[in-house]
Amino acid sequence: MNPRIIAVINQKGGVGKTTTSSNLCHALAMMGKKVTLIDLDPQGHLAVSLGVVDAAKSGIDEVLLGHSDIETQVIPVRDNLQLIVSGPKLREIEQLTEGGVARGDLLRLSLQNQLKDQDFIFMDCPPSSGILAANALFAADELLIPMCSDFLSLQGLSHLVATIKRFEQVLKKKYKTLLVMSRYASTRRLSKEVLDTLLKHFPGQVLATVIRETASLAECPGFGKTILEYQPKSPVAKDFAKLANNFIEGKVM
Amino acid sequence: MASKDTPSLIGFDPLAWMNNASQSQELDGASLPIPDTDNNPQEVDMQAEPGNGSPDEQNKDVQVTDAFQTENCLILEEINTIQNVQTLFEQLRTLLTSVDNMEIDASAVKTVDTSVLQCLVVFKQQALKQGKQVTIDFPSDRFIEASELLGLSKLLEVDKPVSGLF
Repeated sequence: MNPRIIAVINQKGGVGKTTTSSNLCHALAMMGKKVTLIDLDPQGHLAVSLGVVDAAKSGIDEVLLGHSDIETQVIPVRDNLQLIVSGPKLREIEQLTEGGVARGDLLRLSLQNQLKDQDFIFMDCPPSSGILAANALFAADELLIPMCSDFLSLQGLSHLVATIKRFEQVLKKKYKTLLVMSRYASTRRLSKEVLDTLLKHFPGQVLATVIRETASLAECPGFGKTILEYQPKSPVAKDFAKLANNFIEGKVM
Repeated sequence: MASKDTPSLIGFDPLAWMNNASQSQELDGASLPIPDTDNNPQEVDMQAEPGNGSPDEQNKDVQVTDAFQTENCLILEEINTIQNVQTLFEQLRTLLTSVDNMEIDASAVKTVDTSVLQCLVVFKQQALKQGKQVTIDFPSDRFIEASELLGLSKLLEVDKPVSGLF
């Protein structure tokens, strides 16, 4: 079995990449899917969100540097959910200037014939368009783009789409791309307008469930828990459970 | 989007260029078509009366850009980003309503982002629709590079042979 490889990507910060990655993947794992999460953000927030706080722990950094294979770096963090942390050297890789295009292909190569027992491999990308995001785009077959409902997110998405199109041309492949509306405030008209704009430009690509803005989502990383553990009966926990179903079933707006 | 009676909270649509690009299937292809704005209205209405646009458009405190404007020529400043696109938008709209042949001097541009390029694309399209001419003169290398990166160089009619001559 070949896992589906998905990059959770948006060059803009604060749109909910890590929140979506941790909570969606946990929801998928709770549904019985085998999921591996790779933290490609040198900030390492994904690991913290899942309760892994060893900043010195090696991870995808060693893999990209060619010092380790990817399965060696796997940490089981929940039933059916395993994590590969960013590692302390990941920031150095972002600064690499030598190696040309090969620098972008490190992750794809390291994933070849690995983690074959997994249903999904998710990569939580950094909020940048550097070499780490390039590695994710080389490796991924699918993209999941978290969006929050403000104007600058639309602007950031415009940049991202241009980047994606460049990669599609160069790599001669077409990504299956889905968007998820996160931090959605139903009482704000702007939220609705941003969502309408997304639906206009990405028909059939916006996952059916929006993730509502709530304080608890910001709180749970501090306890190393996903929302499904922190407040399992909350509306937003149900949002993520629904989102996981949407993702598997391909249910869109 | 908002109803006709309610101004949209999205001043311009940063993704509008996607429709243009998808019609040619190639982002940086040479045959980017000019969209039929009658059937595919743009998010930015260059002719909208002040007050019909976003709240920002109604803001009387809009800062005056350093861009120099003559009767039919607008000189872009060095830095052109989302921070000053609103001012540029206002200047272009004024230009569109006042003259038939317009020139935009892009020789000084050192930084230009997607929002400004999108604004210029919509401006050219609106002008063409009205039978008016827009020429981007003396585009700097940075302007051309950014335009090419987004596949808009043909649409904006800027090309390398012109760059650096002035």
